[in-house]
Amino acid sequence: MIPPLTKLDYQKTMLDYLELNKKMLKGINNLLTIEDVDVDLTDKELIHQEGKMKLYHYKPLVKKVSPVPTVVVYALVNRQYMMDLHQNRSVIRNWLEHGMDVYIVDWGYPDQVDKYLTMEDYIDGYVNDCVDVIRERTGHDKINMLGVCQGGTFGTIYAALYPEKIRNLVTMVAPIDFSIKEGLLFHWSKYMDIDKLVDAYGIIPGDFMNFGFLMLKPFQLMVDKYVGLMDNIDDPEAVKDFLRMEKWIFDSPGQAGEAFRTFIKELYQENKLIKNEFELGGRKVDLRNIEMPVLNVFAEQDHLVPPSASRPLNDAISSKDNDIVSFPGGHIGLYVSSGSQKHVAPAIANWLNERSKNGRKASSKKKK
Amino acid sequence: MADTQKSMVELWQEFQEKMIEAWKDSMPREAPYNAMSSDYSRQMMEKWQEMQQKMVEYWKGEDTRPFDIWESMANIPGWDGSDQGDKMQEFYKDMMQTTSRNLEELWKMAPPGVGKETYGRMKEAGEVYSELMAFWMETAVKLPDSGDVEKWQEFLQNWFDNYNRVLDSFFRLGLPEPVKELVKGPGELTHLQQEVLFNFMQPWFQVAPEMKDKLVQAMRGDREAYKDFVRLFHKTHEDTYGRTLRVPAFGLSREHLEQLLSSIDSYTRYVYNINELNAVLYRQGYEAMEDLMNKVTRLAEEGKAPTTFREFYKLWWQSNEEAFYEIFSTEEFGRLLGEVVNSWAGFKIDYDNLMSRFINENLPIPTKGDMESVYKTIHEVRNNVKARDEQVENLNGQLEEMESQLSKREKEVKDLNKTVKTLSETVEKMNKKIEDLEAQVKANKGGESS
Repeated sequence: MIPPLTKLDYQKTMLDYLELNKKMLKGINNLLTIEDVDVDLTDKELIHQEGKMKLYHYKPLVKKVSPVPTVVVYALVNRQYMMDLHQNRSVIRNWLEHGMDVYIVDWGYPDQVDKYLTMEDYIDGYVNDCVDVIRERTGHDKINMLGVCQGGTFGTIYAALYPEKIRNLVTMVAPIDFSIKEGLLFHWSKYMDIDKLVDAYGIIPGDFMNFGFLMLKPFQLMVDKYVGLMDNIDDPEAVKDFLRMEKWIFDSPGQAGEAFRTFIKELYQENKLIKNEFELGGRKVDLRNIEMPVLNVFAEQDHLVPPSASRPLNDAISSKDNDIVSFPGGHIGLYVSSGSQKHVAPAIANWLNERSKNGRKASSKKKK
Repeated sequence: MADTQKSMVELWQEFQEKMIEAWKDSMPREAPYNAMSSDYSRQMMEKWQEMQQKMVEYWKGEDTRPFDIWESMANIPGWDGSDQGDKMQEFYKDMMQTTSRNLEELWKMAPPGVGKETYGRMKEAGEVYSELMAFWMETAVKLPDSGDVEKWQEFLQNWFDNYNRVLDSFFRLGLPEPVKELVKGPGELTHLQQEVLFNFMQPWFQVAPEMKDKLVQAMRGDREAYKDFVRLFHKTHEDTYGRTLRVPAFGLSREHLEQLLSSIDSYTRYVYNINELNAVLYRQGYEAMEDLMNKVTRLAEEGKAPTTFREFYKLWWQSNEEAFYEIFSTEEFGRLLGEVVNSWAGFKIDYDNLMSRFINENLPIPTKGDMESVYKTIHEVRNNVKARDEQVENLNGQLEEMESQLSKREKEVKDLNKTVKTLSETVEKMNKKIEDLEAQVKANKGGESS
């Protein structure tokens, strides 16, 4: 039986509605005139390119720059400029202001020609080449690696395979233990026939991935977010911020099929990484090889990579100097919230800077 | 946007804002808290609903003049409750006709890009919001008297029908276009359109009478019956046509026929799976709404029930999010979702193969299969080139090392030669000295003998 709603305040409802309309009116211009929004604005220089992958070096913003460079390895999903969405809320800019010497990998947009790219191609190939380019350019034997989300998983695998090239490792919201029960992506992926999906598409469409992400919180991400926009639509800056995030969310590159197949099957479904059973290019990835200082950062309300997927890293490695830091907020909030600017970015910069004093230069020109 | 257009929008906005302020002022200040009996409130609410509906129709492209409703709102009794409202009403009436038409044109001129795309998503979210609001108004405003059994039955039937619209609009949100089309087809099946289904199902009715009963129950709004119907449909299909479709074919066109039958079979599997998933989602949607209504009742008893649509909306989306998270976390949902994705991928593979075969046999253009080998070759060539580059680099390194070694050796030889030369000179000097000494010894011996 449907209960009668006896306490209906018509006047308040109407006034709410009229206020909403007023805001909508003011916001019309905002939406009518915006063709695109500015993102990824921090000044940087292209220093290496291989296939669709590009390696950039950010120009320093302060005189005293850390002697050890840091390469940021982003996920293959979505785009790395999430860390530089807006100048007032740019994690990259914050790090530069803290004196970090930052390089970043841009994976580009794979198409069908790239469908056979494997995880070996990505990690033993692209990531290793980028590290070598930076080592050669700066003359350092070892550099810092900072991996974000899936890029954190890549960074961890890389550090286990090439510990001689990494001085400090930072992982941010990186999935390491895939056996967890909390995250829906971890739960759903167990039932996917990845072979069939990869065989059907070659390159897994970005839209497919996005739909999966939206389904994690469908009412919030597909309805309330836009209804909520109406509340701020009369504020041009708020609308632009919203559109920047919107642009990033729907800027979804496809996934190279072979790499996707391995990542989902051997990590998500078989959880080989944390068990030291994962192999790359015929070599076993043993996390115990990681002896360098490690900082493991995660978000306490992360619904994409829950803390329980990131936390176990510290127990699986041999590093004596290993820290684990969590911040309130979600997966994306770690990069774009005001808390990110005040707490997250400075904490990481300080941790790295502390461990990057007296940068030791390489004795020979290049070592592979 | 041109300056003239921009100023027109600004002008329009200004008028609208003044109108809204006037409207707010004109609302009867002494209206009762629950103004069910007030003509003013009732009509205002009805107009409001009408306006929402018109906005939805406009967004769907079915109404080209959504802003006309503003004009008719001005005629609601009580609108002229104040002098200011009266004046603004006249002012508004004069200007509204021209500005509303211009605004409609301007919406269409929004440049492509994030603004327009976001507007599209807002529009879709707005549909859900509006459908929910219409549902809520229907539920909250038009409740029959408690003793009117017939009207209550009619109301409950409408409740199901109306909420179905809310769920329909929600479940199609955010889907990429190709997926949207695929979901839309089977999604419409959930409406159980009698004619299509009866025709389609006729052969099975003879095999499975239970299906017919379930279908009839489902058409009356029984979601569990619909789920049973879908399951029976799949089983019957598997036992009848499904088996036939998987029987090996014979003859000249055997392979082609097998491909064709396989793709039909995999499509049927996909349709079954997405329907089963839909049934679960819709069932959850209804249950979440019923739970919400019960919650609202409890809140009403405590005097905390939502009193505006916005409050109700907030409660609605948050409670639905929780309810859906719960079901998304179940084994059943994970399995169903997996089957939908897997059967879709299976169908896509079969369909692509069928199309490729047709193109290969009839058209002079390369197919996906042809391109596969090109992609694979490119990948191998890229890796080979990279491996060769690394080899060349290593060889260059070795060459440099050898050159360095050679140069070192050359220097050593040079030094040795120098040493040898010095030694030779020393030996020569020594020999000379020996010769001199021998000559001296000889001379001494000659002297002694004489």
